[in-house]
Amino acid sequence: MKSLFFLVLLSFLSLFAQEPTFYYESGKKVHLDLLTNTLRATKKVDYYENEKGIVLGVSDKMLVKMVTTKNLAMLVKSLHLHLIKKFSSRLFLFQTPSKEQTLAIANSLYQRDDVVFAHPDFIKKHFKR
Amino acid sequence: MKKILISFGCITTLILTGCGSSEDTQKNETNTTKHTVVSLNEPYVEQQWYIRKNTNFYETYEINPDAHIHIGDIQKTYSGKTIKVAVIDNGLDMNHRDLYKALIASYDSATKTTNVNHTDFNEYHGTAVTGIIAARNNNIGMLGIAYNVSLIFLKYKDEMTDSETIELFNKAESFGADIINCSWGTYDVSDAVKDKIVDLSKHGRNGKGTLIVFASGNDDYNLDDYNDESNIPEVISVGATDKENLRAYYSNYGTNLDLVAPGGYDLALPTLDVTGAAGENSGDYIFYDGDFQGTSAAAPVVSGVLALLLEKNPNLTHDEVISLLKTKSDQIGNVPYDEHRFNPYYGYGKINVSKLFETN
Repeated sequence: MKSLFFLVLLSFLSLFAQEPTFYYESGKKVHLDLLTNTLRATKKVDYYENEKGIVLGVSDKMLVKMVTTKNLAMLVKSLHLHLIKKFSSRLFLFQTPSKEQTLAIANSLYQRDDVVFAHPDFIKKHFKR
Repeated sequence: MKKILISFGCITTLILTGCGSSEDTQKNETNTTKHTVVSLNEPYVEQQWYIRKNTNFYETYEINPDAHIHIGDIQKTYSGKTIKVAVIDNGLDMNHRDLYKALIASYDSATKTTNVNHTDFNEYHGTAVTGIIAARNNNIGMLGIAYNVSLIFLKYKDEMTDSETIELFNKAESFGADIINCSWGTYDVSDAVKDKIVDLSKHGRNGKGTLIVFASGNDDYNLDDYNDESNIPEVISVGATDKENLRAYYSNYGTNLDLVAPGGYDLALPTLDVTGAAGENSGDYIFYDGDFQGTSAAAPVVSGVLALLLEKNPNLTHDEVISLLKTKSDQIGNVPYDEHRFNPYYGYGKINVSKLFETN
């Protein structure tokens, strides 16, 4: 029983100890490479490059769309989220405890049945055409 | 057919008083018995090769006779009046004389204010895009395709969060936009932004669906390899043609490209420039030999045409408009189109305004 407890604890800690380098988009896992030499990186934003070479900024903000909001209060409390903005009855902008935890929290939410999607509030370049 | 013409400056009111004999008049009479017919005498209008053919200009610059959008005299009857077009772009010359009284609402994502003027006045993109749609018919400068449209301008930041992008689409919705023109893209649209765009396309405009037009991009990419905004099926994705009436070499393509429109190569699309010394040149306009070309220019051509179409038939739904574009566009280019009238480089073909207006 004790070992099971520690296994669960270890799994939980590992979730937040190291930021995963992927996110979910349109149901697919998209891998990210952390950019360590970008001029744009700040204390508030980490920059990554995805598989297509697109540069994405990740901060402590995250967008989540729920299927149902029945468990919303519980999720907010257990994941230490702060509601910044409600875009619609089911789409929310949250602040996470830190930018280092945003990908992990979004990925864990994405796998829940009551979540339509969850991903960082990515910072992206809008290219004029 | 009797016509009574009453002139007010450059605007002439035409009241139809008898049975029609001209083809145009017969078509128009089915919808209304009173139209406003205007002269289209803008000083630089002959340069606007993408709207209609000026024989001298076409011969001088060896332009394919079909390179324009076959608008005919439709602008003499329809001008986008009653239609609201939102342009999401990098800034607008709010005081441009050729946009006089066009702007009805605005919002700047960076400052959260209504001041959407260019921050860097050498950046003319938003003004140029807007001019193609909305430049006024006022005997100065150039002619917008929908020159009486009500303009909403939403200024984006080059680097922007997904939530800020959603906010701009929310603003367009709250301002009552019928059409949203986006001459930009990220090549990586997030689920939340896609969700907003799809929702607006399906449920905006009081349930008829907002028409969201995106430029396909200028990198000669197959968009099937990218998760781009213009690759969202509900979006009207626009590629570019050139003066040869062929796909411009740079125009992105793929299975979700809907249609093509003049975007230029060699010859630019004349439009508005930022007033004065700043901008693309030292004047107030960008000319045929200027630097405004690309799918950024092709998208507002389509947005302007759609404003004319919605003015004529405001009850058209999003799906009905898409269906019309698919069946009424010209199958140009020396390429085969499939049984659905589709080719990945041309979509469903090049926009043809006269055909769009045949029955609608």
